[in-house]
Amino acid sequence: MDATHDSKHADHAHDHGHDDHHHPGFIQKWIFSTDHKMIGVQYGVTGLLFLALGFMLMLVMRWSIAHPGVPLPGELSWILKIFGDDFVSRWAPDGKVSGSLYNMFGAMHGTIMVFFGVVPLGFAAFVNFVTPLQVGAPDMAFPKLNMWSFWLFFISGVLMVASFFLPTGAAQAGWTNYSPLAATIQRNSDSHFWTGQTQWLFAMVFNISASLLGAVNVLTTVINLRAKGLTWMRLPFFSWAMFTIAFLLLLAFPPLEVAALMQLCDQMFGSSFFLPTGLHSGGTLVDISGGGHPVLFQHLFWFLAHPEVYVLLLPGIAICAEIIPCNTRKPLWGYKSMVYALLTLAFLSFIVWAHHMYLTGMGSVVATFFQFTTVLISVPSVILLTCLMLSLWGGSIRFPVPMLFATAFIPMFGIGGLTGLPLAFTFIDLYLHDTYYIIAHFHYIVAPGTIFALFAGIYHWYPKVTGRKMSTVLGHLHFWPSLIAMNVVFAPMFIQGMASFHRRWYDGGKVFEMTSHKYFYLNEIISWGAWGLGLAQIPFIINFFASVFTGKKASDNPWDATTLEWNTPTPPPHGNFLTEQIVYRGPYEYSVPGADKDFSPQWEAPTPAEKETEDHAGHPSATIAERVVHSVEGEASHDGDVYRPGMSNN
Amino acid sequence: MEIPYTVSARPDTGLYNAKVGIWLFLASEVMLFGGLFSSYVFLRIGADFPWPFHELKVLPGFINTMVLIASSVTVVAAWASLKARRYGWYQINMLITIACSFAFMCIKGYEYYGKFTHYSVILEDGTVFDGHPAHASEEHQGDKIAFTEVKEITLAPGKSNLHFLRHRRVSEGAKPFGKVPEGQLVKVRLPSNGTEIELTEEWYKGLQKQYWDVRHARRDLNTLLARIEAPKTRADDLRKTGEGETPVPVDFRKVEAFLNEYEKLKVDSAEKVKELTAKVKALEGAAPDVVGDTLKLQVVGNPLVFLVGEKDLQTYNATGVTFRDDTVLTGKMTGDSIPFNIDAIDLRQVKKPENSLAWKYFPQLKEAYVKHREEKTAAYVQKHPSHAGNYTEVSDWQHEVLRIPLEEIMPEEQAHEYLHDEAHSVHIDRADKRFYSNFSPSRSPYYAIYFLMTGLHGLHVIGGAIVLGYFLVTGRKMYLNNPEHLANRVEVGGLFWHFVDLVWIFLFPVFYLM
Repeated sequence: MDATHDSKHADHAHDHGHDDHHHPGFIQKWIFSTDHKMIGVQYGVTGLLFLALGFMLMLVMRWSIAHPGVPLPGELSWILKIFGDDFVSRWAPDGKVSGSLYNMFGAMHGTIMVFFGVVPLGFAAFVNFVTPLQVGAPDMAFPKLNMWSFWLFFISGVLMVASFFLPTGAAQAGWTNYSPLAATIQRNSDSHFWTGQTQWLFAMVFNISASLLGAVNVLTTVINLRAKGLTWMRLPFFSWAMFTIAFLLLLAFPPLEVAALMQLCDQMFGSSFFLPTGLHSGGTLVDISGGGHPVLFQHLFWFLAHPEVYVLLLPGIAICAEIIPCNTRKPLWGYKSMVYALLTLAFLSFIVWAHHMYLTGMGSVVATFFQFTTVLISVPSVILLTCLMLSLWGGSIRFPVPMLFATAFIPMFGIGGLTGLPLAFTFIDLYLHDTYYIIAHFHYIVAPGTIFALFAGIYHWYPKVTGRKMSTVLGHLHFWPSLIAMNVVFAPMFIQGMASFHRRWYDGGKVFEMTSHKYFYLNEIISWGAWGLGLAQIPFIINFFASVFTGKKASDNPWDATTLEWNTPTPPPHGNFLTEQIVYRGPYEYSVPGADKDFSPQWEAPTPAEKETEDHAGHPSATIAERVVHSVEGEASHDGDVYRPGMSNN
Repeated sequence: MEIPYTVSARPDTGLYNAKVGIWLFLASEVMLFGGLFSSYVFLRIGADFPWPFHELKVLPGFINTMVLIASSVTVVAAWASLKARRYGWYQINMLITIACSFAFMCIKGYEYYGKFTHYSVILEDGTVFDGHPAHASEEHQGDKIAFTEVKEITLAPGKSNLHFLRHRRVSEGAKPFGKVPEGQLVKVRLPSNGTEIELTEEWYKGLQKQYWDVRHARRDLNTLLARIEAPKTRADDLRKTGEGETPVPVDFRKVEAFLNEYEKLKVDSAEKVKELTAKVKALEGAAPDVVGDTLKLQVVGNPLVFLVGEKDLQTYNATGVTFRDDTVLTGKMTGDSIPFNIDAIDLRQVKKPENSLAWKYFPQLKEAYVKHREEKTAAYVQKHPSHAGNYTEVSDWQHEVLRIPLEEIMPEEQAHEYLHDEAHSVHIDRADKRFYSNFSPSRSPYYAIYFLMTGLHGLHVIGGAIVLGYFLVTGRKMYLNNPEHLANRVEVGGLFWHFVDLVWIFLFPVFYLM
């Protein structure tokens, strides 16, 4: 954006659908777009496709677990066939899922879901579309950089998927890619460059670079492009959370980049960063100098990957924090404590990483430190969830589809979070490490937790993106079966985990029959849950695409919400707002006493009646609604977080 | 559409967008290099080998430090010139900055070159010879294995390719170093019908296609057979749960049902099995060479000669080598030794230096070593009386006494001959060798992290120079339109440049002085 452009254009009221300079061509509008909304949609659609791919890989794995040694049935073998004939003949020469294939799909399921599915959808898509609108900015601070960010991510995705087709297959050392396994598993291949392990690292380097660019962009936008009057404590919680996530990505990803570069060096140049002296592979001494440290990789990896956990789950909380107040028609309970909890959580997330490494034998002092910080971090997490839960209290709740998903998020995420507490303790973790208990724990957080919240967000903001609402009937058909299937899949895993079922058994434990057969029947039940979960997504896919054309037309503010993104034309034009945005109040002023409707948007100036109460309350930082409630209750001297249920429903 | 605050600062933050952006970016850079420095500490503390120190020449590093500091001054001057609206001075200062970065990279390149051409052989007992391979071979790489009289090539069509042909040579006198003349292909005889064909990529592609066609057909057949077999396996599994130490009650109706299903499948699929079996047979009949997983080819005419690096091989012995892609050559290994000129012997990792393998290759130097050790130790103890009892455990003593550059134990002229004269080279038995490498990342984690950190820093220098160069070349138009915008850009670029300088200020002492 050259400053040399005639600035009088900026004051023009724009028409819908095009900006004041020129009509962008097809490629500029749909492919190499610099518009944050289009980039958001690109991230969203790509992320959804990756979620589908990751899910399909898991279906193949589930079959092998439930029916070890039985060839994939026709209903599932098409998943392998999309990788081509050679792929199937190489990896499943008798139709059965081989151990290597299971390892490959396991590693790629985790990688794709975390780095290519949930983060791009939950963070990149939502932050790109919603945050600039919510802070009243015309676009991201650096639109071109934003486009680069998406395309770097896209390249990384292409590399990652393409690695399936290499003779070595894709990466097979787990999504954590621990050395020395990662460095030795494909060492015997003609080229050390064209291996799944190496391409995994290249893809990650691209992916990390993309998310660094994105993070800088988001942070700058929130810091420098907030609308007039949008003080930090008037910032919607969603944008607060995205701001925090961007910081996590900015500071936690570089050490993983270091780890990826070091491992790349180990693979390509024969160095021994993570390879110890005397390393044997396949019975022979590996021809390396040795002298490196496998545990160093784990430190670097988990220094990223623990904050990454919060990158995965905070978008869920962020989205629910918008949808729940909107549908309970009352303010978010404890907005300020949520913000402080969020920041505390982000800080603590940097000093808990080694609780993933209790089994490396790092010594009891270090383990105790990380045990302590891990227990500590549950405090802000519980504050966040409790605030969401209390926000329901006393509301006149309506249940459109997004609210269904948002409401389900709370208990599902709660189960995931609370089952994590025992794992913080070394003595329990030593037993449960790498069992299905862990799988159940973090999937409850990410799958029925975050992914449900992401669905909620899609249903919630879809009208703003396309101008049409998604079908409610199909939404219900999507929600209820998904809710049941999710629990059928993940709840039994707690039982299996406590019976010490190991997460990497490709045959579901058949070779350990003597110890584990009592819970074999759960393998099949879980797999049935997984097929059901797959079927339950069909209504969503239909709804997602068909509603663009057939959905009910939506107004600019279809949910009667209060934040700035609902003050744009629908869909928002390039440049977003028709007039300069001025923010007069906090983000969640629903059912303000004395107001003429049950929501008071941020862009509406206080009425004279409200002004008067504000002068009485005299809290410059509390939101107006809170101040109003307090003055009515005679609690003006208390902190702004105190809220009396039932007061807002007049 | 205008993005606000691209040039002027936002009043409440006091910053324009790019300045916010660059500080955030630098924060992530701090984490990047922070991760690297932490890794350095981790690797050095945990090293199970003598961590090299004082091994890099300080002077080039010191010059580079000065060069970078100078460039940081000039980049500020360039920014100040723009602020004062003196474009000529801006250009001069920017040019000096970029010239400095160029000088920096040249010195870096000189240092790198010295390391890449310097080698180590680590022997089985821990003795290290530093030096370089004798200048005898075509590529000056002494670790190559000469493999002659190759009459049989075994390919695994599912995995191998023909890249092994790159290592083919022709004998030149007694040595197998000659280049293969253009167009001289390898002729082989197929095992199935004895036809002679030329080993070309085209032929091999056709063979691989046949190989996969057969595999696809077999896969379909095997999948069907396994599906038929599945209910029977399940019935067996069910029955088995009723046995053993912790039996569970078995539902025999289920077992029965599975067995019935198995019988039914067998009957129903009989036709299909027959059909698929016939298809496999037909394909196998048409391509008998790819029925097995490997294909043995007899070389027609003169036996072949190969010169191959050990790193390209999975295994090797006197009669065969196996490449990483499972290609096997059968023949005879000739000359299994590494001709090597040395400039230093390092005995720090040897349990008993007086019995080191070094004296097997350099018996004439043992006496000089003993004398050297006594003299140096006496001097050391005199200098550090507090270590008189335990000097063998001190890394400084080890470094001074057990690492022996040849010029310290013989006249300089003679040492020069040992390093450069082929007549003074030794032929190190491959059996004695544990590891062989030049001073590249593979040499040890020390060199790995040295190259990674200085390399990444170098990439930052190059990237910064490109961006600053872009501002220099294309800046005039922007200067005329909006000089403040250009000044902002240079300020942001300068901030990055300072960061790059700062990283070097940490790198220099860590690698050169500590």
